Amino acid sequence: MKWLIAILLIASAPALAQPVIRAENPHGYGWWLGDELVQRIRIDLPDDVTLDRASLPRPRAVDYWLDLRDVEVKDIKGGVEVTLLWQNFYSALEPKLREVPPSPLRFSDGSEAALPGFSFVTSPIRPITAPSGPDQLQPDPPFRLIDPGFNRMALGGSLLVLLGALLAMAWHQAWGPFRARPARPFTRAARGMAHMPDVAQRRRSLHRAFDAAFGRVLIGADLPDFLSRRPEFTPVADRLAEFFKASDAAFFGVGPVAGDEPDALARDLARIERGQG
Amino acid sequence: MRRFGFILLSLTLLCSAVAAGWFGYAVWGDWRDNSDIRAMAAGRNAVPRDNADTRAVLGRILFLAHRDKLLEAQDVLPLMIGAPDVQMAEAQYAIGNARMRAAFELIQTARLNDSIPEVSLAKAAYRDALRADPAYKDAKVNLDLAMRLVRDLPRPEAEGDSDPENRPRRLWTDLPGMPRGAP
Repeated sequence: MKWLIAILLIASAPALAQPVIRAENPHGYGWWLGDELVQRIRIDLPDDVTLDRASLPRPRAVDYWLDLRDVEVKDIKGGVEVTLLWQNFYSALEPKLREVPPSPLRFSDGSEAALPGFSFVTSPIRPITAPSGPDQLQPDPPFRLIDPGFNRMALGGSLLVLLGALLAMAWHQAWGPFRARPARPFTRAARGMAHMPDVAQRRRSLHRAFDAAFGRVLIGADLPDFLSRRPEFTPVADRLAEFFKASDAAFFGVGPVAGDEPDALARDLARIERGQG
Repeated sequence: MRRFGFILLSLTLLCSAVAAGWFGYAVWGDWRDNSDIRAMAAGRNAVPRDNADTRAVLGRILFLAHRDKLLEAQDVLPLMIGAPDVQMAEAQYAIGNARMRAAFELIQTARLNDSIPEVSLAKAAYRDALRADPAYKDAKVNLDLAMRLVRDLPRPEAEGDSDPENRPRRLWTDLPGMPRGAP
């Protein structure tokens, strides 16, 4: 007999696992025309059962005096939480109890339940004897001006940043007031060489730039030392060596080297110096 | 390192120039919209620019509704899409007020049957205002007023477990001169 009872118990176990519905209803009193009422419903579900979302009420005008504005479902541990947002449009002439109807629910195992309804008392806004004439109409809303503060501040801020970036760029690139910046000797030399008719003079000006960049007079033999101190010039190392060789040849009278123009080299060095190369 | 500095500076320059242009345009837009709103508040006609701030559009609706140009006001209403709820509520409320003024005018000329649809439309506008901003007191008062002029009540057979889709129907009214059935 015992085993029969056990089997019966086991067989009837799913039927016992009815979903438990607990509702946190809005307060029963103190509501006006147009107020929103939030109803929170917690449904405890067994692990293998889910809520059939299609069975939830859809937001609509439930009655002439009641709107269902929003239905929100949130999965929580051991069940779901349904939040219903109602809006009361009952224009009461005296404090009056209104009933919000329950709505049916379905679960994935075929069982059914109901989202509980609730009731609340809604009160009139105006005295019952108040006349309903054009004088009682509340006035039109005032015009709203736009507060330009944020956009103005943002414009000021971005202009400041723009100015700062322009100054920093001019300083970095040796433009305008920073034209004669000592830390940009090649840039200065390249600009100055454009106005020099004599090749020897241009060559000399580039040598002065090398001296300034090296910190002391730079001769051909010091070139590896210079490149190890200023590694950004390594890509043009061959042309530097060529320039110094040609320069030595011209200075010591061995004879001018054909096709030797220092201008292009100076321009490239200036570009590297300003981070553009 | 120098290369990095150059790139960083170029990017900063570009971004700040774009930001300055953007906010400059926004400041100009604010100024333009505010002068439109001031003009309309002073009673001069002004048409907000395209893509105007919703407050300028709201100003236009208030301007038109206050002069009872309802059709034009309702034409402007779609431009309020995306406006903050409070502004949306005020736009709907202004339209409701214009409808109520029209209804009162009809009542004063004793055209009561013509006034009923106006009041119903006003109620719909006030309801929309309250949907956007449930705490809007002026809209509550005026909706209550409109409801007393033309009450919506359910059909008798629909009481109780009512059909959710049933349409509200008016049973009795506060309109002057209408018998209320009291002894």
